[in-house]
Amino acid sequence: MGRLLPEAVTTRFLIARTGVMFLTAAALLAIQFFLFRLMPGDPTASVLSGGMSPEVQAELKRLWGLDQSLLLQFWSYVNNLLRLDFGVSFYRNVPVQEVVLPRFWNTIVFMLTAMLWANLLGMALGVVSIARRHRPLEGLLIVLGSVARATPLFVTGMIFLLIFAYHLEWFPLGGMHRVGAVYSTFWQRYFNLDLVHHLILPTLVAGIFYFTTPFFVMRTSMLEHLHDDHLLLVRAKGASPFRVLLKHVARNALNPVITTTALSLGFAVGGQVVVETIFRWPGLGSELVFSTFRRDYPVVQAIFFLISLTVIVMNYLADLVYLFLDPRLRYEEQR
Amino acid sequence: MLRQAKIILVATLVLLACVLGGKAGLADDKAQSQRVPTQNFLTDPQGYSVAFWEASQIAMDTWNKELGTDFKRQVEEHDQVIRKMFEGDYDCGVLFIMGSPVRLDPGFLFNTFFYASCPGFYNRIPRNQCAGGGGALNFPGYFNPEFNRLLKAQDQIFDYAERKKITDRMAEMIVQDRPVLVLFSPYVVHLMNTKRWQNEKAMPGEGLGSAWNVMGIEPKGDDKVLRVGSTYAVPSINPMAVTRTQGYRVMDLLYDTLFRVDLEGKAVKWMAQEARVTDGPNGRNTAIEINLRPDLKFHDGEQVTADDVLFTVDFARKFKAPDLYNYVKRVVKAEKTGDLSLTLHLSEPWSGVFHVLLSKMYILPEHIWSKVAQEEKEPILWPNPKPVGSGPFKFVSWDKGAQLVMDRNPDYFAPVNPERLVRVKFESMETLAAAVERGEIDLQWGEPMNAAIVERMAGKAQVKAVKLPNHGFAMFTFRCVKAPYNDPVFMEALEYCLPRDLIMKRVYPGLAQTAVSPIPPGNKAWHNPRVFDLAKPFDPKKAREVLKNAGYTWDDQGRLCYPR
Repeated sequence: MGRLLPEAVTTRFLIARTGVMFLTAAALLAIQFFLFRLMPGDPTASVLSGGMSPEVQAELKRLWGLDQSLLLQFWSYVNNLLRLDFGVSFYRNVPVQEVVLPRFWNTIVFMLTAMLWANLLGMALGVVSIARRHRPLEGLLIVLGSVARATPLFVTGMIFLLIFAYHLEWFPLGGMHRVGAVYSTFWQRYFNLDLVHHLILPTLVAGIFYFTTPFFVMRTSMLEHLHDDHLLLVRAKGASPFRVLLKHVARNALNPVITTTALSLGFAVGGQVVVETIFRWPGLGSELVFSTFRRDYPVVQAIFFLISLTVIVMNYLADLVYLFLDPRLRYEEQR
Repeated sequence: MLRQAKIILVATLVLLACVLGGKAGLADDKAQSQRVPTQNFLTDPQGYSVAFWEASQIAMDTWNKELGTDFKRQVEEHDQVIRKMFEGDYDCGVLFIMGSPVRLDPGFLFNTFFYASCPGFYNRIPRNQCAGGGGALNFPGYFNPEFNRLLKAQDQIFDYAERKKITDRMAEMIVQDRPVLVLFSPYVVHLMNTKRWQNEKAMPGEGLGSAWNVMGIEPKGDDKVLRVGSTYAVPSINPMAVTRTQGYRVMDLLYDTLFRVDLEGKAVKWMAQEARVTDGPNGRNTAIEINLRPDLKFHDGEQVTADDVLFTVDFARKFKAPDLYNYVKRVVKAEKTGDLSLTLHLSEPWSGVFHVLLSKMYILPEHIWSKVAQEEKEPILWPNPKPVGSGPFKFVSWDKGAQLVMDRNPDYFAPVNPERLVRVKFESMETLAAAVERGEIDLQWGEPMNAAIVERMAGKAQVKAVKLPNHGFAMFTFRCVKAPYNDPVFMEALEYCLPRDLIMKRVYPGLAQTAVSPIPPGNKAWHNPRVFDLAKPFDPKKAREVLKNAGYTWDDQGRLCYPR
């Protein structure tokens, strides 16, 4: 790092940026805690059963800490969080980690697969559209990209489910594994053909939506670099048009694509509520909706915290990567 | 001078006329102020239940048009609807009462929904002016001393015929007093794929979701894995913390109870081989002597003994098991009379004990839960990661929010047909129905299938819609401690003007039974058919006549006004 950047600049930037990251995380923690409690409604109305005597209701409120003042509740929440204890789910009566962690991995598997193919395809199609500039294929790709971006995910999801799962029966109707499959280890659970079979349709639907961002960003960025002066020299040296496009234009155009990809990965942890719901994918997004409706504060807080933390960290990493990739920022810092 | 006097006279007359006119105006205003004010009709959002949204719209439109009332919809999220009803902070609203097994017992039902020890009852303590308390779900705040007397009397009678006479009268009182207007009782409709399983055993209120069906349904071939789907998530697998119907369905399979509610809705001996009501130190019929079956074993091979039952009673009382505490505290003493026999002493005779407590109290293995009681900070919140019960199925795995897997208990004393049971959670009725159609799921549990899907599935090969009577019911509830609902005449007029048939035809075409009392025909053992004669037929003219005779009037805009 020292060789790439003046050390003083790097240290100053890192300290400031890390400080901002922690401050943002702390602010988010407080905001999300109080926001849910300020929402109209009483969590006990949905969690506690009406059939219970007032005596038992009071006892359960005590057990869940809902009888304390908001500040005390916040204090114990932060205390527990520092020990990585997210509390007990009101609805399921199990530690929050047991609900959230498996779903976190399910979402990661689903969204990473979708984002991976969406980004690769998006970048590749971006290059193809520039290579076929002013030809029918370019127009076709732009129309396809616009339609994919504009079509709501629930529409694409339902259509794919209806055609490929319900009518053609090529894929299952949803879920992550076949009904009744039991896997005892992490490896067995995530590395098997059954999962791949269930993964194809939801990732296809999510990917159709997400490929458009890298496609348009790549295209726009390549258009900016298409007439760079240095390309004249490269062409004069006898490089083929394909080599010019791929090695000298596309490579230079990658920076903004990488940044948007990093940011979208952060948001991906939140899952895709719509796709997860349509395809019954047991991920964080669908759990968030479920727990919000039931005012299951500990679970909702844990999921929000996880999502916001990932977004904050990915933003932080994107800033650092950008510093390395874009020399102009280094000059800004030095001034 | 004379002219001036004339002017003064005219001015005085004009002033007098204005004053008198003003007074008359005030009198008119006063008459207007007696108008029956706007009433808020509390409902869930349309998306929560289209059926109940429509039912309330039809009723409000009819009442407003025919009677000149001003009912307006007040939409709240479901948990807020319930909260407002708990707190008595509402005028009227619509509710669906699910048909859980415990609600088959009339004593439990009447006590929960219509008991208040004094007037001014609210469920929540801070607003409650009635120190003696009342039923947890007495949303109307209904209070009737005669009803309370009968409630107590039926509680002490163990003879079915004698008890039914009393509960019949109580059902009639609810129909006549109208704290609620029961609309209809929807059938429980569950879908089933007949490719692998046959001869389903359906239970009132629970449809295909009862333990009887899961144990008794017969396989057609070698595949003995029963796959069931539900839109409800499994809430908890701790038998002491369970509070929801969907939780009880799972607990009924993993754990066992001394009695079980059978397919007819009666509590029958199950873990108890013999049970006898005798006299005890607290009076006549206050002791329940129980002998356990000798062939009961927990899933880890340990024998079930009287000690386990005594431990369970003690645990539920000591740690205030949410749904049991109210009932288990009526057992003042539990004593062991042998390795497999015990006596439960009640504070007073209680005929509902078999149905309400002994069919609901899952017997815990003392050798496991005694450690929980000692070591856990809050034993009632113990997650129970690997449940060990003595029920017909053994726990295998629980992928929270997705699927629960259980295997047949080979040591169980009763026949159990499926070798494995897989319960899968679905996000919507549409995907669940498609999974049944494709055979990914064998049958449906929980929330009844909606009418449109049932219609679409008609004629599909291997898909069967099992339609069963229910003891759950839909009702309009009125906060009857305040005007205008505290006036029997007003309530009578509302009933005369309630188009029950139209509502049923529109919202549940062919999928509901007529019901007018909280014990609908689906509860065969306790239904009183005479209540149909007491309910008022739809007759708007008669409704206006009843109001008119009682002194109600209508202003020049046709709006209903209270009697002067």
